[in-house]
Amino acid sequence: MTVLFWVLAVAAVASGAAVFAVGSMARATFALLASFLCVGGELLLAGLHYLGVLVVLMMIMEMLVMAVFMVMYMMNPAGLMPMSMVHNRRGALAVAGGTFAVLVAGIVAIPWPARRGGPPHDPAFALGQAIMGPKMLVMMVIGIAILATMIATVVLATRTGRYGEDGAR
Amino acid sequence: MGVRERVREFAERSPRPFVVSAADGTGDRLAVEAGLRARRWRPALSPAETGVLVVCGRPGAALAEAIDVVWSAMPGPRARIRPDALDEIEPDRTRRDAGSSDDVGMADRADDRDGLRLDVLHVPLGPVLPDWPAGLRLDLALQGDVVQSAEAVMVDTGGGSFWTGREAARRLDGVARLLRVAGWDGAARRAAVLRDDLLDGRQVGSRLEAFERTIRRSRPLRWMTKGVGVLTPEAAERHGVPARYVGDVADRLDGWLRRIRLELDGAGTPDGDRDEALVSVLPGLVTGADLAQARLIVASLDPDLAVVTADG
Amino acid sequence: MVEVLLLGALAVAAASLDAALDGGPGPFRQAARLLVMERRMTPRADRPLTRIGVVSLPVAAALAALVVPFGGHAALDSRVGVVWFNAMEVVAWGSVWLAGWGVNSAFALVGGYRFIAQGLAYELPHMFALMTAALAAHSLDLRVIGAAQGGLWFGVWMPVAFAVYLLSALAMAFWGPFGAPLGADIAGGAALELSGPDRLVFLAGRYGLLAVASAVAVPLFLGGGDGPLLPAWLWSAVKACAVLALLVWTRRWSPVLRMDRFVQAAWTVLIPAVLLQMLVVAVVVVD
Repeated sequence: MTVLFWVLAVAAVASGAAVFAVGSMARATFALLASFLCVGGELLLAGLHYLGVLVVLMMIMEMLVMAVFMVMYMMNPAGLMPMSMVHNRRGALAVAGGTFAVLVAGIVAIPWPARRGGPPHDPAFALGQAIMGPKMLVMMVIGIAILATMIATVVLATRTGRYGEDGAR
Repeated sequence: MGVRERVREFAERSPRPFVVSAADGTGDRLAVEAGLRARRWRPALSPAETGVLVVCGRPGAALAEAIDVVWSAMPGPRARIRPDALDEIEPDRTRRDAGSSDDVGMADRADDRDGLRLDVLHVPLGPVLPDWPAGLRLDLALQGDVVQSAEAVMVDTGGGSFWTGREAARRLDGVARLLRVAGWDGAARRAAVLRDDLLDGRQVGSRLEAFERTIRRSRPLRWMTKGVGVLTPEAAERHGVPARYVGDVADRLDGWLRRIRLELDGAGTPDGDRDEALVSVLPGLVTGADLAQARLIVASLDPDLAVVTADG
Repeated sequence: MVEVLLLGALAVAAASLDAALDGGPGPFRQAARLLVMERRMTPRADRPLTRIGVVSLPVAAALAALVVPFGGHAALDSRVGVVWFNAMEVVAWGSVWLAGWGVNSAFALVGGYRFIAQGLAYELPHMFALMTAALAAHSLDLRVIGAAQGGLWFGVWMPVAFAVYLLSALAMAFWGPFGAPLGADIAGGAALELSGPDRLVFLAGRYGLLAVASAVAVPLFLGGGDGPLLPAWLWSAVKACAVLALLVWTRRWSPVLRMDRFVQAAWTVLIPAVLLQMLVVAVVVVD
């Protein structure tokens, strides 16, 4: 268990670093995805099965949608020519280093509470209760509203947009 | 060694040939298609799928060059055969160095329909492509899979039409290829069988009716072809294209089915197709369509380059 | 592990049935042909990414097969089988995109992108269909969902969700009407440049996905191992075979659906329909 934890942890950091070392956008995207998958694996190891699998599911979908947009707007479709994945090196290093320092300081400085009670019988259920609890109805309505808005926006946008009046009349 | 040899022999009993046709290769192509069907073999969609290449007809210099490029990229064990030699496939098992052509796709940028400056990729459709008019090449400028501009080039022409006096069979061939491009193999096979039976002078009456009903009743097919590649009467007149090509892909398919029926009832009127005009109308029709629609549009016009003579 | 092997056998059966319907050579002959073929790569291909794409497809199918129950038993003891299945099926998006992108060929790239567009069209209705069944059984565990249906199968009293699930099963395995990513119009699409063993592994993965998607329909909508006389695992297998045969058969019914048209129907018809179905189910089970 501990060995696996460290393997996944090192792999997560290494593939995260690889994002900036590889020479094509596709490789950068999938290096980032690999990093997220390792994090998902860590959650599974911690017994948070629902969250772990959800991270795997969502990250794959997000990275692929990102790949579509990235390659669509960039000048090298199919990464025909290698390109650097790094911009504004100094500023980025400062921001990244600062964030890392703050997070580490937080981890060290916070007095972590001692564990009370055991893990719940059904962590997925407990998670839902903890996040939404009495606001369940509101959350559900908002969820559907956001979905409906998304779909309506896209449908309205395509009607007269990029693909024009499609023949599917 | 023994096992490997045995697997090889087992595999070689059902090859999957990649069929290329020159403008004058229609007769050969039909023979090959029938030959494959009789042997329960399937044709390959791409050269990478197979090592067996069948060349139909006599390709001119330009098409021969394109075929050579495809041939050199095919994976071994390879065999290049004549259309009448399906049973004499002798694969060349010598290992080759893969040709190391450093052919980088060309990407530049241009404004798209929304005025965004996006990459443009120059991609040719044809001349070596399954279910594609023999000898035709469409040079496309693509943004994503949307055609921004197109130019039609007749790579291989002449040889005289195979279809003279066989109008119904020609249209069934067109229907079969259109259906394959639309991704409906089952119906395409029925059309091909009907076509071959018609050419052999067999009775197709009730089977043709049933086939026609299947096609006309297919709502997905209608959904996918309606409004695609609309040819206006003005454009048709400008290019000298007969009026029966006016409309969208669904209309043209419908027109073919009606024409097949008329021909078989003996009521068809022979009217010379203007195949060059069909080619000249293509670039305008495919511009703004996506790749899948462009393929449907080309298949719904189905120009026969064998009737085009070299001097135009 | 027996369950995973059984699903592998189902995948081979699917390939055989397709070959038989097609009047073509069977899967073993095809496999032999591809095995003795040279492995060829296009110039300037991204080999590692292509390989990852090719290999991850059957791997995803096998990992998804871990949570598929036959009767009341699955290879992996997971309480979140529905989500796991969903996650592994989405791995296929990455596989197809990578295989299409990595070989550096325009048509293959188009094929890869087609599958992402297809994913965006089918995934939302698909997820709602999964949720509907999970909601009715109060569980994300496929074994529990299968056992929760008593006499009345979910497929009977939530037909919309079942129909949407079957559609999305075809779409996730890019099969039949949803075969555009490997479309004939782009000379085989994402698989265009795959030759020899690469092609074999990729296509095997696709049949694997189709088999898994069919087998998951059984606990979700067809009462799991419920049935007279035969043992539960056998009932599960029989039902999975029936669904699989139906899905394989669809290839002969319909042309390929293009996403430029289908996505509108998916979002404006399927999503509202399956949401309404979910509302009905929610009202019934809360009562």
